[in-house]
Amino acid sequence: MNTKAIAVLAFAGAAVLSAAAGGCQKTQSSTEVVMDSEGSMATVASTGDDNLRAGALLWSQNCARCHNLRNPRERSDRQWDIIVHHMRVRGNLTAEEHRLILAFLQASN
Amino acid sequence: MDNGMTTFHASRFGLLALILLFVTGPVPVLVALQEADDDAPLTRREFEKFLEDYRQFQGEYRQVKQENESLRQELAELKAGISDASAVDSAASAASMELRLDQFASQQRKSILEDMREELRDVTEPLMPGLLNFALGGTGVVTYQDRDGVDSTFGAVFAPILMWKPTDRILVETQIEFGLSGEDTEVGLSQFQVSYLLNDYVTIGAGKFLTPFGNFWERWHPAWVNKLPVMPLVYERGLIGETGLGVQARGGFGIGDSKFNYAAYYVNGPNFRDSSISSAGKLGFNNFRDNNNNKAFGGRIGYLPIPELELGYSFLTGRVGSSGSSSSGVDMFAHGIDFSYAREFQAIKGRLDLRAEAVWTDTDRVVFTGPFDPFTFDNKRNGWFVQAAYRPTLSSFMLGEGIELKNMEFVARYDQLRESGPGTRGADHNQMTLGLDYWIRPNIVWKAAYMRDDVRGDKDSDGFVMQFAFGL
Ligand code: HEC
Repeated sequence: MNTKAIAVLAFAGAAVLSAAAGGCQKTQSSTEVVMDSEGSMATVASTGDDNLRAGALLWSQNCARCHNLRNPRERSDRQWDIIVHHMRVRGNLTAEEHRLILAFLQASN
Repeated sequence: MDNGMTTFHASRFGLLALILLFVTGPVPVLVALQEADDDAPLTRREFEKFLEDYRQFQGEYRQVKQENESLRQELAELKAGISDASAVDSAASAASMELRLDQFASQQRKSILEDMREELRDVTEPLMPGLLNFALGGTGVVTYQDRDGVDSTFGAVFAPILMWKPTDRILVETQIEFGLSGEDTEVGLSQFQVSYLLNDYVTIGAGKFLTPFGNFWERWHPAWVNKLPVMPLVYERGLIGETGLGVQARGGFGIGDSKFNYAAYYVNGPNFRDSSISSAGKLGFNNFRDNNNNKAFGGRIGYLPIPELELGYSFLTGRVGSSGSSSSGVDMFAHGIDFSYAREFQAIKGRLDLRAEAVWTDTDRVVFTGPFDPFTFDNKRNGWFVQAAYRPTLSSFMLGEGIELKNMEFVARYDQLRESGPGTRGADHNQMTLGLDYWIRPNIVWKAAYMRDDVRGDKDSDGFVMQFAFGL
């Protein structure tokens, strides 16, 4: 077996192992994030707060355009404040999207 | 009274007071000092005060609950005592009363919880002053490449982004890139931008920022965002540079149901290369000390008729020749279009992500002279790519113990590049890339890709690329 094959196999092996390890942890694949978010969207809907509902929708529409949706629980209120500001500048989000999405993330983390 | 006795008492008392003062004297001073210092850690006293408040809230909450309970009981008794004749009416009003009671109770609960939360924040936030204004982003990558014609190799890059938000309107982002090249570790400032939210529609920025041309550099290039472990040809071959050093204005706004966004920038701009045959006519984008007095100007307009779809047009133009050189009058113009569409569909049990861009660049014709025969050519470089990705996000199929199909993403991209002139690796370059990703988290991924390369008049560079990438 040549070294190239060993390198490829090592890489692939590591990928499979970590994939399995990631799967075993049963936490937050993107779908689960979406399901999580549906959960929080359901909670949000039941509060009857229109702004939060609008924020949840805008989040699911905008924040998955360029990359996978990140889990709202990943960051604290203040961290989301900074990151959504970052994303507003990067992705040219509107002021309203900024405000509503931030409120949703801060209510769902 | 015995005078001596009094004196004795007085002096003994005085001594005692002196000792007491000596022992306890510094305490109030220390306490005062600590109270004056905002940064000091939480004192036991403050914590006990917080605990006391918390207990008080708890007591109040129990009381409200008790009152609520006894009201409920009264209501039940009332209900029971109502005669049959008025039952319907009274039951209805009793029900509405019950509802009101419930609402009242939940409101009380909420306001108590909110008070507690506020109180808790007052206690915890001063424990980390300064830290609250920072957040981390950025990316880390390990790549293994094995392509025809070049030695296979591993590579690694770590590029954290530090974000600092000192006021509501200001954001400073700094990305430091640590890379490995040859025998050295390279450190670079890959982004550094201060931006200011002027109003709802305009954000201004200054520094070294990702070029708002097309989508790739600004939006798709970080390794945990890019679904393939390789860049599109047009960007890999440097038709448009990764960053610009200068100022920009940008923003987004809605009109009816559709949205528009824009970016306009004024930067040092690219410089023209004429020192060797192999690079003749190419543009360099690391122009940190401008090679001429003329700045480059560019912009992009994006249009989103629906939230899932964006269409964009970009341009960049400027003088690229170095002042004082034979090419000092050389200008360039580039423009491009981009497309992106991403949506989840029930019918295909997953998410479809389509991305495409086309770029045209045109630099003035020059007669190159040097230690070679003078030559000239029409200096144009064009290219495009389309990429489709599918991830079965709605599938619950398990590929094996703990390996879920929905974490896999299938990606295909087709690239084409047309370059003129001698400084290129071939006039006609096409590439097909097939990729398979496994997402461990939304921001952690294993990627593998196979590329079929086709260069007219030159050796192809088919091969495998594997990558592990994460985003902070
Ligand atoms: C226009 C594309 C785009 C959109 C829309 C977008 N992002 Fe991002 N996001 C990026 C890119 C690109 C990065 C990586 C930044 C870098 O490395 O320069 C990123 C980074 C992040 C990060 C990592 C921390 C950071 O700030 O770098 C988080 C978290 C994140 N995005 C969340 C969001 C959320 C929440 C939204 C919705 C408000 C969102 N993104 C919308 C492109 C986008």
